Amino acid sequence: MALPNQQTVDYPSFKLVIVGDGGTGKTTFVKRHLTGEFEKKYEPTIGVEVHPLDFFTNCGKIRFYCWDTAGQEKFGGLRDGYYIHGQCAIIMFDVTSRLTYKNVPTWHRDLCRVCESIPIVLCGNKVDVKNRQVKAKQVTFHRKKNLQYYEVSAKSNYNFEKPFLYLARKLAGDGNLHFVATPALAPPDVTIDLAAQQQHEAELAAAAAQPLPDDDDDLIE
Amino acid sequence: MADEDHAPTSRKRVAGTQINKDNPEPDDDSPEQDMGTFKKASEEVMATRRIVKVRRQQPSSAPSSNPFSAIRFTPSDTSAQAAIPVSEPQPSDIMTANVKDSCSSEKADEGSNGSGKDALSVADKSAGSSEVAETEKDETAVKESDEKTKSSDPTEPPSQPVETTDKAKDMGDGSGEDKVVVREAEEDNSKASDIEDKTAKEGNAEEKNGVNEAGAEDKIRKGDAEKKDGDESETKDGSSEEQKDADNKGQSSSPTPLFSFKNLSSGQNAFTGLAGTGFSGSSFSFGSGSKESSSAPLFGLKTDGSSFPSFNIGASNNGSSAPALATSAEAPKKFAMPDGPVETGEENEKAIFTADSALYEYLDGGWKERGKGELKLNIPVSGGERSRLVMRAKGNYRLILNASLYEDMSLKDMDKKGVTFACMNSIGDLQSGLATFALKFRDTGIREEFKAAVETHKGKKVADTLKTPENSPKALDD
Repeated sequence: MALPNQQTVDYPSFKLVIVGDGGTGKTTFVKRHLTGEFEKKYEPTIGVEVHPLDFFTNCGKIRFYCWDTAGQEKFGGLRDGYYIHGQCAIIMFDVTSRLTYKNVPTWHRDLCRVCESIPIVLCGNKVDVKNRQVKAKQVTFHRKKNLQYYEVSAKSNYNFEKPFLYLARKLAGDGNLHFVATPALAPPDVTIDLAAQQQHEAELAAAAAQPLPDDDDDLIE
Repeated sequence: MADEDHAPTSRKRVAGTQINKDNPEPDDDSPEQDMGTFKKASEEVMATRRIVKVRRQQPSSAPSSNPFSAIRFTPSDTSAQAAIPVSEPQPSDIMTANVKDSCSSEKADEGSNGSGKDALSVADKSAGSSEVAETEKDETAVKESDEKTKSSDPTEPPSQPVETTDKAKDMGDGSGEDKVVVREAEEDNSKASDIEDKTAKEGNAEEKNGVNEAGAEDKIRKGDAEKKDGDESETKDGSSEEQKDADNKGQSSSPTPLFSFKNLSSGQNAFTGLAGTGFSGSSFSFGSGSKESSSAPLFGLKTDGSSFPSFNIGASNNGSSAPALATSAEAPKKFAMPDGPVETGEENEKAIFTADSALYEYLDGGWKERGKGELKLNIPVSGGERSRLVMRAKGNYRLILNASLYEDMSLKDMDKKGVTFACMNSIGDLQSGLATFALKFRDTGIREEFKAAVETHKGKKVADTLKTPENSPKALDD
């Protein structure tokens, strides 16, 4: 399951396959968790990108190796070859595009062909958008296939941890599992020499002049 | 398998039609196991079908061997080739004759071979039902049948009127068990399979009606598998899998050989599990990790933390007792400590300022968001350590800011309720240098509070060696 250049960890780790149509926000979703960044620019994923993603739970630390697969067919690479030995999965669609929801059964079928019975979460992304095309009531596929469904928004972080929480609970067999605060070790002291300090003064001035992104003012609550 | 109805022929991930409220997506809960209806094919359809006959030549004496081994595929005569339907009495009498033969020979075996009873009862039933058919059905058929029985001629003279076929089809009971209808039987596999199916059906011929009707092979086969469970489990499995396959492909009415190689051998077919499309593959799987068991946790609780001091909760000893649990899906682990106290690393600190905030990092000339959550300014309870800023993302509680304050830390106001500063953020494994961050608060009042708190505590460092010469005067000032 692990790639050759992946470091192994001594805590439980799982291969998580993320599938869905192109442009539904799989990479943005993963990146949001990895770095906190919200990437607006669309760059199609080629093949697959694997990112380790750690979570601290009340039952210990776990890691998801997120296999962020290409949604666009022309960049699909090995396609369902990436699913092999997947232990859990996220199927993502875009609630602002009916077509991406329409294709969910195909993704699910392909996934289940390779990974027979793994916990799967269906995610309707971009629920922050005002005029969505797939209403929550119209999402019924998960009921037929016994999937978990979450409305998420990688932009507003709405429910953005829920898919991982559900999968962690399923994989652990513990419905009461929950995420806990990442331990914050004592940080090192800051030692600055004068040259570095002056350099940072300059950068600080430049940074202060650069306005902060303002598209999420309403999100600090 | 249920998704087969979603554009099975169209290309992958390309929708056939756009759905909207007027044209909603087809409900794929609709019954997928469309069994069709028992309906007699029209005469012209029947005329195009090839009708073959089977006969049981010798009873199987070995119970473990293939019970169908005695079935022989009789090359159909020229009547079938000439697309002339064969009349009903013909196979019936053949069967009767053969069955009677087998009855007599099996009775001889009965004492020594207990399991010959199966075949015997089959033969008895067939014979009985044939007799019923003969007595109940119209007289021409009975006459013909009697004649043929007397003559015990296995092959029928080719010319039989079509009306006789129709009549015979209506007869139903006991008349069709030995008649095999193969549509365009271009492959031997399909013939053989159908023959076996029919043969298997002999055991419960009296329960069957209309077995010779076209397009009903699948249903019949399924019924056979269900009712014939006493005979042999291998055949049953194979039959049910065939049924699944047929359902998957929506070929409920086609007898073409999806199931070619299944029942030809004695049932021990190595390809039985592989012949499905993957949906029925309970017989094999690619990996151990793919089996989910809700009652079997895949990872256990680390038992550290209770006896260790709070500084030990990093990655070094976390999970040291469970390195093998990573992928061992089969190993159910108990949670020794289901809900223990969670170490945050801040046990000896006190938060003197908290606020919801958004964190940004200045990279390559632009601000990158690092997360939103609660920002805390922690001061040590016991003294001796630096004050620090700690911030975790809301939701996943990921650590996004963990930086010591320092004496020369300067905070600059920004537009939009922001404040920027430089710090060494140590949130991951890799140590980062000084970097520029910004915090955005809900309003400027909170920002001013934050700045005041930082100014108050950034120099506090009690009884520790001073790392830089510049920080001592300011520390004294504060």
